[in-house]
Amino acid sequence: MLLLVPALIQFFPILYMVSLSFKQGVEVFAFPPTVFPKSLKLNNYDAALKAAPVGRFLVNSLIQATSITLLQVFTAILAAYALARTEFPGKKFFLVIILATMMVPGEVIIIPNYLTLAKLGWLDTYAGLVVPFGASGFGVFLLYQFFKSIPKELEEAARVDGASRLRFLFQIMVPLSMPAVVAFAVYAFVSAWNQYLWPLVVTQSTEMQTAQIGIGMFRAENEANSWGMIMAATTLLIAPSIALFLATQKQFVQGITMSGLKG
Amino acid sequence: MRRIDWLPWLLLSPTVLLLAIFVVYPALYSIYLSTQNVDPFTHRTIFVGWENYLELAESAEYWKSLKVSLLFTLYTVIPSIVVSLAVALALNAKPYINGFFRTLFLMPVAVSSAMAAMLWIFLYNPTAGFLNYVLSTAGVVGPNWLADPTWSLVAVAIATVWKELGFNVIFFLAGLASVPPELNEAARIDGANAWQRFWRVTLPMLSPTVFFVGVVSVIHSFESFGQIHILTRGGPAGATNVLVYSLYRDAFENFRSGFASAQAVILFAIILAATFVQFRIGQKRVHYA
Repeated sequence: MLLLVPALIQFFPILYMVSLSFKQGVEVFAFPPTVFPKSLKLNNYDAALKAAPVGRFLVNSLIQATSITLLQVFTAILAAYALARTEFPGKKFFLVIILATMMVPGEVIIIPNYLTLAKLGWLDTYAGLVVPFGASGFGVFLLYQFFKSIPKELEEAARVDGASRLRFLFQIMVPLSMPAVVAFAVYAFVSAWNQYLWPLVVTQSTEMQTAQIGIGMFRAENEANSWGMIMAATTLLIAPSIALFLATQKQFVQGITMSGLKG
Repeated sequence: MRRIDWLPWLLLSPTVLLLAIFVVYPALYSIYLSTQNVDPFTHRTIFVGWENYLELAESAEYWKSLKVSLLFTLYTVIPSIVVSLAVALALNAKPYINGFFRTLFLMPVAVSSAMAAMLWIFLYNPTAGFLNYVLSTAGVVGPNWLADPTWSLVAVAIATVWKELGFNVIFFLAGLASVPPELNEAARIDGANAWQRFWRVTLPMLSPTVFFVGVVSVIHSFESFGQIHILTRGGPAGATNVLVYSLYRDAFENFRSGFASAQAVILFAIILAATFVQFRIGQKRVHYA
């Protein structure tokens, strides 16, 4: 029970967002401020949905984050198998380079990447949001570790039975590595969904903005008196993150704990 | 003659190509760009050598930005380590009863920096915000958090700590789970009280985690952008203009790609230095220090 008060304080900003989203007009600015709204009218939500393409923002984020996750998981599975289970010249070199890419912070490479996308004509497109994040050094590293722990005899037996290497990879190795794959997928999805700087730079039209960028723009345009509406939009845009967290808390925590490995 | 096995190359190529084009090449190209002046319209470049770096060295604004970044690190890293360690210890004491509390503490980790900023922005409202109301009940007149140069960085830091806290709690809980309970038990039998057990047993055993969390938090603090863009836009009067924000402004508002690239190289060097510190000392494991 020692934790009751700190936990409530920690939860308060989320609670207060929801509360504000139901407050009407001057109720928002009442002093002293109230924790709970007087009524549960949904008109702020109506107003928010009319004033901003909230659904479009969510769809954009969903497309962006899902595509990045699928690409990262797929490319990482292939590369991790090559590094963990096959022999080829320069293997060590590629492993080191892939690991080294984990140390490059995204913030310091936005300028050249922006120029590259401008050349490709990918600014303000889904490709521009997704493709630069199609591969993950961390994902390769994580699955590489996992694949190496799977006994070689298993693969030899499958090969003797006539299975190709790719078939072994997708029918036996990947299913056996599901905990790691899922934890990585959740981690990749949340990281992609929460991106800010890159989508800010790459998207130009309102139709392409992700949830994170859309909410900032929406607030800047509606400042001053429509806080109830702004908080209604925030509630709608934050809800998927919280729902995903509640649904996948275990994998979520695993993903973060494993990200500690990359340090 | 042996046939070449093409499979590894085929499997490796998507990852290698994507990382080469979108991580390795831009990292190297940033270094090149930092020695150029780039025309914002024609994108033509002129070699200027160290000029961009010299301009940074002489820019009072950039030095201030560095100072703001260091202060931001100080304001976020130390409080978040102390608070998250305390929370993790409390959660660890009764893991089953505390599942619900654990969920409440970890939830903000799933929230993006932009959304975290949106949650806090109205709490900071000088007249109707909840924070100043709470302060007023204690007889304190709260500042205009986001518009006051003295308090704006603190305000951004509080929202950041709120969001990052759960992240650190996860690592501390993992660290605590690996401390053998027999150690604490033995100390208890020897007559050590809870306070002594924390300082003499738990904390030394946890020191690698504390160190790891510390370095990761420092790196995160240097990468913080979204909450600043939403809460203060680097202001007021540059009070929250951290290094990333300065880089963003010069690249995408002032269109000085070369000058901004020099800032990117410096930021990269700072973050890389932190990573190496972690690598060197982290390997040695600080354990029984």
